[in-house]
Amino acid sequence: MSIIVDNDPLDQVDGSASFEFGATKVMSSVTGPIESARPRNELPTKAYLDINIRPSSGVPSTRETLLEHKLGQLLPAVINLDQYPRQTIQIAVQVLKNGEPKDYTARQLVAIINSVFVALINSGISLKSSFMATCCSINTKGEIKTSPTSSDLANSVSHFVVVYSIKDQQVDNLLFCDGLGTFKQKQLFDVLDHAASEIHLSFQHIRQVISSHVSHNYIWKA
Amino acid sequence: MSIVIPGDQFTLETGSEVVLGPNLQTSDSTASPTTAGYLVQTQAGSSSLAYVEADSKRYMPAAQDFVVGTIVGSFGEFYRVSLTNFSTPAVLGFYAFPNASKKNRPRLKTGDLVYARVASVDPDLDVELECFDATTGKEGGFGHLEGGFLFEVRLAYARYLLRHQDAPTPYKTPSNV
Amino acid sequence: MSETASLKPNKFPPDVLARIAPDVLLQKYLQIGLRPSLRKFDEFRPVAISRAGVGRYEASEQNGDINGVGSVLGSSIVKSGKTTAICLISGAIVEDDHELINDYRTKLEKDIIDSETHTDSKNASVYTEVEISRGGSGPPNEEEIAISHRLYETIYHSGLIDRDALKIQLGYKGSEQLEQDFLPHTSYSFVLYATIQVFSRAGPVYDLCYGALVSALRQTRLPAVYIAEKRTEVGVRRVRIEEYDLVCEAEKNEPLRLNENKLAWSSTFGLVELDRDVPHDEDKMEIDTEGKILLAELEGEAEEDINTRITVSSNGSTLSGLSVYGAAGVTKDDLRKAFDLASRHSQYVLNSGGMEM
Repeated sequence: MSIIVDNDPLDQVDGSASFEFGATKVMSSVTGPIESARPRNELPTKAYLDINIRPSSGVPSTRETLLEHKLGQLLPAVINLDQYPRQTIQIAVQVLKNGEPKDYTARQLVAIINSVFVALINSGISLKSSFMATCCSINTKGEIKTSPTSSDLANSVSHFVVVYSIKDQQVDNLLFCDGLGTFKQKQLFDVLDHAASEIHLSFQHIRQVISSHVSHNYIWKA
Repeated sequence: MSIVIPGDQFTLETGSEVVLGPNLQTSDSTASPTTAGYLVQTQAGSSSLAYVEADSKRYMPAAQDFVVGTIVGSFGEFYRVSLTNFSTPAVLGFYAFPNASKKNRPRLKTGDLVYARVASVDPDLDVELECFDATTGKEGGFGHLEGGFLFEVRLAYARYLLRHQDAPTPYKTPSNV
Repeated sequence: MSETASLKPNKFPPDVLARIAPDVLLQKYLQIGLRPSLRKFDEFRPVAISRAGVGRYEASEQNGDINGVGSVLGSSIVKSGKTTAICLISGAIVEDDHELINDYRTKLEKDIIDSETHTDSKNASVYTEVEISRGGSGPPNEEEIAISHRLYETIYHSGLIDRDALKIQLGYKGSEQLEQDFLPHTSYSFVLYATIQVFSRAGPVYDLCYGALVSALRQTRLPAVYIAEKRTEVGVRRVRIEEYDLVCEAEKNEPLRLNENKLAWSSTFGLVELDRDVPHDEDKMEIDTEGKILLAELEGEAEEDINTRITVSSNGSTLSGLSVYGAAGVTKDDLRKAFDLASRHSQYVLNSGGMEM
């Protein structure tokens, strides 16, 4: 899987990143912590996450709302929200290329999660750990494919989005897993193993991109 | 100095007193960074110091920082000072100036720039600023800024300028300066 | 004069404490081996499934549609604890061309998709709208939209409904078959809509909505459709326009064909770690579980505070529609335990008389 990450392409936000793998590309931005726009978004003990996802074409629909909901399930596990009481963290995501059939969101969700991770790093918001997402599909013969293409997905019986946290360069905890289609328990566990080794490999690249961005920001240290 | 990212673990030296700086979180005797940056560990006397030097665009106030802010309004006996766009404004008391009294108080308008010191930071309260030297009670260079230009730079470069009197302007400026 | 300050411990009844400090209350219960809902850790609430009997082809039922003109094609009522979910399935007719193929051709022209990799999906789904009543009206909130769309996606990808099952076989009124020559050039399909209303919610409602939707789909009867007498073919500048009146039969109908082996039941679990730091009463019995505790079907404010969750649909042996999230980190052992319980529970629900109705 070839990954292209563009670090901090946007000037007006606190952190941004675009993530491209295969035919899918997503741009994410993070602004925060900022003052809450509405009093009811001021949570007394933690920051409020304001997530907005826009599709590659057309206007946001229930599909995007579900993606926002899933991102909202994952992020509290990795952001130290309690460090920013009464504040808002805005996350705006624009899908640039969806790269999969219209009834699938697996590849987009992977690109969204990974671009939001790099954008969060750039924004300096306090994180509990690093994390990375990948997707897998199982076809009719029961073969597992990591980072399936559009046609792999269309011919699959089930597909999965898996997010692991990364601790000391090693894959650590399962933070998120979303599976659709029919599958057996053993197949799922194989998928988790495949996803973990895929993340272990791909994260080296992400880490390198982040490191080079940090050293670029401290150009006088060189 | 090595570049670290969240999730990296390193053990803190036990026995001696360890002072943790910004961008670190601890559990038991291991610490891990909360964002990506350079890990700095130094020895100062009997205590050791550890922090992560990280760049970002949004300024998070920390006590005793020197800041330049814009007056955005006033309420009661305080000015509201914006340190970063869209962040919750800090407050600067009318009497937080040297020799200020009820009769002799500073006259600042909305849009004026002030050079100030962050007096106190609490996540549950407003950030408070002061415009006098904490040790002497004198002016110490703080107060209303008149004339000159205001440049926005990245936080890492701003900190570098503060610490190095002879800091050169980078030939190739970091992005987003 | 000296003042003495004394601290008086505050005492709260459990339902108040659940609101103030749900995590503390939960830990207090877990320490003595109980749940705030007073069920066992792996105990599900009993489920009662019944037919609402308000459908177009359920005239014999008490609430049935005696004129046979309504648009409700299937319905169900699912009760679990004090929560009730009512699901109504309605339908509409679309031209197939309009739904998929046009879309596909324009995309093909614009190189958005390529013909080699694109295959029309053979699955269909049902467009769902979930409404959780909470007193007051307003547009659906994020939770309702998310559940609705998740139901759509889960049904679609599980392959419960074949696209072919919704295809309309046109006929004349009466029992005659339509001759090939008279068949219109376009083909038609049903689209299904579901409205699910949830009353007195007490915990996550996805499982109940899924159950109500699946039960209602099993009850759904599709009307027979015939072409009415009025049929015009107008040719304007070589463009041929066909107009038909499609009429849905008031009495003739057939059940919606479902892939029975894909029928499943969904279960949600919370995963919580026993916090050893919360002070416990010495004289109370303490459970000796090390590590994490799996709670089936969360209920009440204290249990809803658990934010590590596993949701999975199962038909007893095969799984579908999985959602796992949470900070605590879910291990394979946790998943295995959850899948085991989910499979047993779904076998029980699917095979018990309730589902057959």
